[in-house]
Amino acid sequence: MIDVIAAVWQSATPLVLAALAGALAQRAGIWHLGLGGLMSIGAMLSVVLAKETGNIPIALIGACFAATVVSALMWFVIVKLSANPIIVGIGVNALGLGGTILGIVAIYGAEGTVKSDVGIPRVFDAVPGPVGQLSLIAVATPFLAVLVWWFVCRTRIGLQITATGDFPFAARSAGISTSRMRLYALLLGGVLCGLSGAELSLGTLQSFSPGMEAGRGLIAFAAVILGAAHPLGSVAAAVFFGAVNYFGIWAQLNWRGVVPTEFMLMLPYIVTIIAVVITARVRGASKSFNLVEMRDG
Amino acid sequence: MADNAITCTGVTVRFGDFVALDDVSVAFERGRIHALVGQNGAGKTTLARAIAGLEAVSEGSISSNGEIIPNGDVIASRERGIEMVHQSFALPPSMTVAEALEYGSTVKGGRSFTRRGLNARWQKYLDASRVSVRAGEKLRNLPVETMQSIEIARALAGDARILILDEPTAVLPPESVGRLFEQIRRLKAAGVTVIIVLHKVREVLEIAETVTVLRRGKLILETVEASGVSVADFTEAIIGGSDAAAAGVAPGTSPVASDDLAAIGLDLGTHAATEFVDTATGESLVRLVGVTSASSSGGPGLHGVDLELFGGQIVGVAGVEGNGQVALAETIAGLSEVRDGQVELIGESATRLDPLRRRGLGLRIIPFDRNTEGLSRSSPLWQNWAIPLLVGARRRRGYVRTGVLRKEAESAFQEWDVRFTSVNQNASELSGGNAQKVILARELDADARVIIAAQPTRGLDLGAVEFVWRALRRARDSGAAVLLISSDLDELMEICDRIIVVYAGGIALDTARPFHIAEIGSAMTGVSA
Repeated sequence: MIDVIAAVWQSATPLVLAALAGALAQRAGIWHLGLGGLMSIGAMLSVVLAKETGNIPIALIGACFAATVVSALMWFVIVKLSANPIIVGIGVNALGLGGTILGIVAIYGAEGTVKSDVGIPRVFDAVPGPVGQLSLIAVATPFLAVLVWWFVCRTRIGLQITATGDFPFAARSAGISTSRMRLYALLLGGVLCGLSGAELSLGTLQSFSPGMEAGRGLIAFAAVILGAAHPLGSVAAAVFFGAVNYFGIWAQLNWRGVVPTEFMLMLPYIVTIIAVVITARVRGASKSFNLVEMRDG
Repeated sequence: MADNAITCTGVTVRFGDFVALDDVSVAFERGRIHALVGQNGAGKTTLARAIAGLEAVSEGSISSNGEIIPNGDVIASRERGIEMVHQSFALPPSMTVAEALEYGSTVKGGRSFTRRGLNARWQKYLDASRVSVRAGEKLRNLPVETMQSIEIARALAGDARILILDEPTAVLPPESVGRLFEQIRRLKAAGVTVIIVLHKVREVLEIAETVTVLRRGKLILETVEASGVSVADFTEAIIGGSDAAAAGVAPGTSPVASDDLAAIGLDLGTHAATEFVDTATGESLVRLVGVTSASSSGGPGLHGVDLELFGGQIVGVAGVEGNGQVALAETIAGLSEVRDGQVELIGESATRLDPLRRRGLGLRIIPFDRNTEGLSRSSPLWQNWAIPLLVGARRRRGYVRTGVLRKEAESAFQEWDVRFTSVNQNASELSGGNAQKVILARELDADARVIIAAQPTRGLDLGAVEFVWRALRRARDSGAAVLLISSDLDELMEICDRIIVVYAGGIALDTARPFHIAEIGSAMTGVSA
């Protein structure tokens, strides 16, 4: 049982971190569809830096830094240049895929898998099985989740970020700079996405191949919507998706021949859609995400 | 000058080419209640927001106690004790009361907290401010009056010395206005300077010590003592001499003065029956027989309602909001499920008829909320006008000639005096009065036989109110049946030929002129039932 939990947790960790980033942005009023792109950038840079320097802290800091820089760019384009956040998010996703391929080709001269000799330390190294596989990031993630929850729900600045997304006019009339709040939310999200990418590549396989993000950013975004942009709700939804994903892999191994593999590969996505539909019905249309800023009357 | 809480010097605010405030210089003395009056679009809200730092001024300056406030800086204004209560409230709906009070708080400390600590801290404050609400309650579940009390409490939570209220009475039911005014007087007694934006003269005379009137961004009257202004001067200052004359050219209606006064809420109950000509044609256009309908979000459903509307009559629907007004409108419109009874429209059985077919018979609707039900704010004006034709375009094999529709929309808007720059501009760019005119231009066409007008004048300024009334009267005179749902009794008594009172989903009173306000009032509160 503990093995199953550890395995599920490991497969959910990148989703959880990205979902936290998405929830922060959502709270500030930005639909963050670029999570996947930021993850790709973090995934590539962490492996490349680990391979070249052999230094894990440098690899992690580099990954987080790059994802944060791209987040700042996103903020500039969305908030300062008034671009549509959805389009910018999709652009960042494309940038993540194309940019990492370009980076690999530029550094190693050919597109392919990059392997690092060092990986993120495993906390319970001595324990056999999936528990022993858990990386430092995976173990730290629950603490990070609580930290984000505390920041968003239990500090004044967290409430100011929430007000920015929920009712920007209210925030402005209290003297809050909505653009600064959005910057904070996106920068923090960048750090989390960098970690998420590093866990995806350096944390488990110790290697990076282009496209390995494989739509996880969008699944994380679905978790944000499913979790109503609440940090812990989004984490719960991300863990649920991680579990479905794990079950998909498990079923491929154990039900081979009984059910077509293609169907098993499809399963996590079908369950995701069903879950989103059910919660939408239960919760009713969310009002807070549709609020239009009030104008002079 | 240092005696003035706020001094505006040559304040001009521009939005692009539009001048919202034009060289306004005005001073508000400390410790008094100042009314800021004007029609919609006169610049009242803009001036209020400029003082609060929410709107940057293009020219001029604003100072508090003799010291110039940094331009367009909410924090700087709040540091000087200037707080603003917004008409539509600045309270994020997803938050709890305590969270909403906390996020904008300028009180030092408490940067992080526990839920229990946060609730306890603000509950204490709410209790002290005599706001009866639980601090842990979600804002979106609260009624408007409570939201306003919270908003005022929030504004006073810091060290507020100047409180600006933007049209606080517009969102309140009449019985709550008195309580609000009580509170404002208490604040004044405590030394707070109050600037209150209003547009009803009656309310101004009740609460304000000085009056400042704006018209089209220009200062017309500067902080004159309210006791020294005559109602006539006042009215002229607000709507302007030429406009007042123009509003009077309503054919076949009561004299100008009475209309204008009624429009600004000053009608004192002189509803002489002699002014009214009976225009009823006697043709039965709407018949409800024992109708029981499903309840809606806007209150209870109808219970066994019998009602007949005749051509050439304006029938007013009075009643405390939420007593079946919405159900009545939706039942006639075909939006509400009829559980029992019959609905007849223009001689045809319409109980199961869909809204589009009802429209085909000549039913027209001016809905409760012009911004969500009446118009698509994100669509161009011509589409908003042409939507009935677009929906009906099936008959022409789905082929739409947009150029023709644009031209027709343009001429309809000109006929209805809509102030617009292009038929391609979005409906969201229009002011309330102009938006309502677009709806009128669409609904009151030549084929209109039955008109349901739900709160058609709510939130409109005097000129626009008069315009809507004239349009309804014209429809009546051409033989249409008009059902006017309004929460403004003065309005109903002014223009209706007959008034029905809804109470708990039934009709408690059905009375013709002359109206007796006591009788209507007791039916509204359920005393006579």
